[in-house]
Amino acid sequence: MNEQSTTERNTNMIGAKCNLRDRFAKKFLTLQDEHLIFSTRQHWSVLFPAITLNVFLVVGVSVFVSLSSMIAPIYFFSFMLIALIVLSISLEIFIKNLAEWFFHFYIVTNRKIVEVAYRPMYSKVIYEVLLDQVRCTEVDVKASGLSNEIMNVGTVLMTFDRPTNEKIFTIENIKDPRRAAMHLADSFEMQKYKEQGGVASWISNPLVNSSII
Amino acid sequence: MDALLLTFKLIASTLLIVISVYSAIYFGQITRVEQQFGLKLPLVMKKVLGFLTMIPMAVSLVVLLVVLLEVFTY
Repeated sequence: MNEQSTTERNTNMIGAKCNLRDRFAKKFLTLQDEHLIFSTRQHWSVLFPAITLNVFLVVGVSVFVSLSSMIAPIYFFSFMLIALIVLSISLEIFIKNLAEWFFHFYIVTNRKIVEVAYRPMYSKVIYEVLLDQVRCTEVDVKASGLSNEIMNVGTVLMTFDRPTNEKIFTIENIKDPRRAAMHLADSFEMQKYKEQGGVASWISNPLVNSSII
Repeated sequence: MDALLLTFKLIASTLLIVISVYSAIYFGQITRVEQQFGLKLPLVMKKVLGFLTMIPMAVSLVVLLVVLLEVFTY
């Protein structure tokens, strides 16, 4: 009973940092005794290039139409058509980027890691790693660039030693990668202890370790 | 020059039709994925997609009509 209440409390504490809606993320909890550690999308800063491109295009097209209309007012309608085509294409590309960002997320539970990357009309990838089937040898955190450093955005790389081959699983451009890596490392440790037949007391509350950061 | 302009208008309106059809298909796909995952996209984004479907289609139809009128009254 006491153990159960501790688990519930931990789940709630961890659940508070989930970026995706809890109800949605919990759809992926399919295994026995599985609870959500965290769920996240890539940081919205990955959309910066698309936003910048769109702003430049809108400004550029507006300048082009106004200047061209002054030089050759007779072709105003044609210039407007060109502007409309360019703006439609750029908006379309932006929405495509936004939708791909929206439908690309990571869900980490105590039993598995799931990456869902859905690109409407193009591809659909659901990548699932069952933690009891692999051995994690490294959990690395990588953050490069000034903006990433300021916004605390980075990539977590996990190296799995599979029976057949070595595989690196990446959780790209997420907020607070060090904290995420700490949660993941705790999960792997917990899994290892479970396999050995015991549970380490300090691992049962991952936030204790996370507070070190 | 007139022939060149007409050709340009025809190509432009065809492109606009292609864009609006693509937007409509994309909109449909996104709605399907929303239902599948139970995740709702922001309403603003859906409205923009709706505009991208409607506006190019409306403009291209008007342009096509104008071009056809010009051709037949030439």
